[in-house]
Amino acid sequence: MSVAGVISALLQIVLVAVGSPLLVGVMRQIRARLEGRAGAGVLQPWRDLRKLARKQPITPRGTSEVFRTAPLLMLATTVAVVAVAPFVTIAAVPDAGTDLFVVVALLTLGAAALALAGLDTGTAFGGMGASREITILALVEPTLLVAIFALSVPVGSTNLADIVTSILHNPSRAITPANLLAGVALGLAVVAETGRLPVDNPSTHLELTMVHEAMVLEYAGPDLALVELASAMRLSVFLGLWATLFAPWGIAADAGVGVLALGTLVFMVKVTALGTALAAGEVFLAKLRLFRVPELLAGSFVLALLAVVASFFFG
Amino acid sequence: MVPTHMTPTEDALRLTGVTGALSPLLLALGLVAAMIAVAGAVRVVAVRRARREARLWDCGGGPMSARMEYTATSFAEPLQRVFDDVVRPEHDVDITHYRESRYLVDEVSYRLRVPDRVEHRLYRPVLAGVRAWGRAGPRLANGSVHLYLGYGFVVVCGALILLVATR
Repeated sequence: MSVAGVISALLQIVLVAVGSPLLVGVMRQIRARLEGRAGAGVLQPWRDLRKLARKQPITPRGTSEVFRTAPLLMLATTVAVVAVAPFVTIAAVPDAGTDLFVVVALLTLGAAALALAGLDTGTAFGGMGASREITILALVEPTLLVAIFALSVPVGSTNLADIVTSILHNPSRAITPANLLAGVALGLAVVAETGRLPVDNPSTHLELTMVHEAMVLEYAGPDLALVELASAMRLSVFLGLWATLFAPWGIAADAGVGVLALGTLVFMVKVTALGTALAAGEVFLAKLRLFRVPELLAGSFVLALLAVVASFFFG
Repeated sequence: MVPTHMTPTEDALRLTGVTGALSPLLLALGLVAAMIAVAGAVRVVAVRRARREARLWDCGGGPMSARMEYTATSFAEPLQRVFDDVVRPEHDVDITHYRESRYLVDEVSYRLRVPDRVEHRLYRPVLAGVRAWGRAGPRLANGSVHLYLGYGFVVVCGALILLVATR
């Protein structure tokens, strides 16, 4: 890996780590304003993280190493994805390439680690959250993989850098039927994976409707800070991946200072725009019943399948 | 992506025909490095105080007895309900009441079984067919030379008729 690659990877990690809680803050603030509340401010997630990091770490009795390593693993997988994905510049992609299937596998590993931690506590809510999370994951993964397959068929590669450069060199590819269908399918999958409405309500603490919040109930202090940071970063990563795959304009081709600054700015604008749209859309949505979620995900799976068919028929 | 040939190079699996490589070793190393980096960052940023043990919270309910915890069946229940039409689970709820009153429940037993549908619908019929064929075998080949000559005659005649018909 070249020096430029290392610098770009570090830049992306710092950008996503610092920016993700801000993104969550922006989304909460937009929601609050649209609902007629004042809101806690954009910086509130960072204030929460600082408060949590200063607390004493606590080990609930009866939990094992699984419970303690899960936040680390979740954050580490997210950091690994951020380091090699072409968010700001293609220079961050190592020579061997960044395989999209590996990216999805890493992100799923993080989610599975947290589900195991929820189960490890042995509490009713931990088990319930883990069970629901795994159910949703099992339904989302096929959509993700099939949509990625549809994207990689015209390019002939599952390497993120190849997919991005192919669309950059041939902009008409961005509006092919296959790409548009895959975009909608992946969008729904991203909403489900990041636990946003209508699949999971990120701001709820109403016991019986929780999915993500139920799994992390036993975490406190610095561990909870890690989980919160990792979830925020996962949100940024999924939105960033979506933006990179379907609107790759503005991604720097190398690692010069000027293009890196421009790439950073464009990435921030893209992810913030997507987050804003998501937050604004959530105001008009209610959470779906858990057993209605499969219908939504089946719909997105059908779209992904259509995308594959379209990519074979229309190129 | 159909991996027709996988050619292992030194550290990466390369799929011929499509570009894209996966190096499990590098991936694992990267992940471990990221975990160490994150753990180091936490040590620097977070307050360094000893971990304290505490009671499981569980929204004030915990800690629970082993009988109340999630089992494999309950864990898979939502997924099983989603694929209800395919796996067709069988529920059984038996409620025994006290003799004195119908309002008082003595015992509730709940049973849930997921019979193997593939076994029932596919393997069983195929196995039954094979077994029937096997039982028919001894009757067809009972050691009589006359019968075997008859088979040969029928097959030759059939082949000749087939050849005439298809010319």
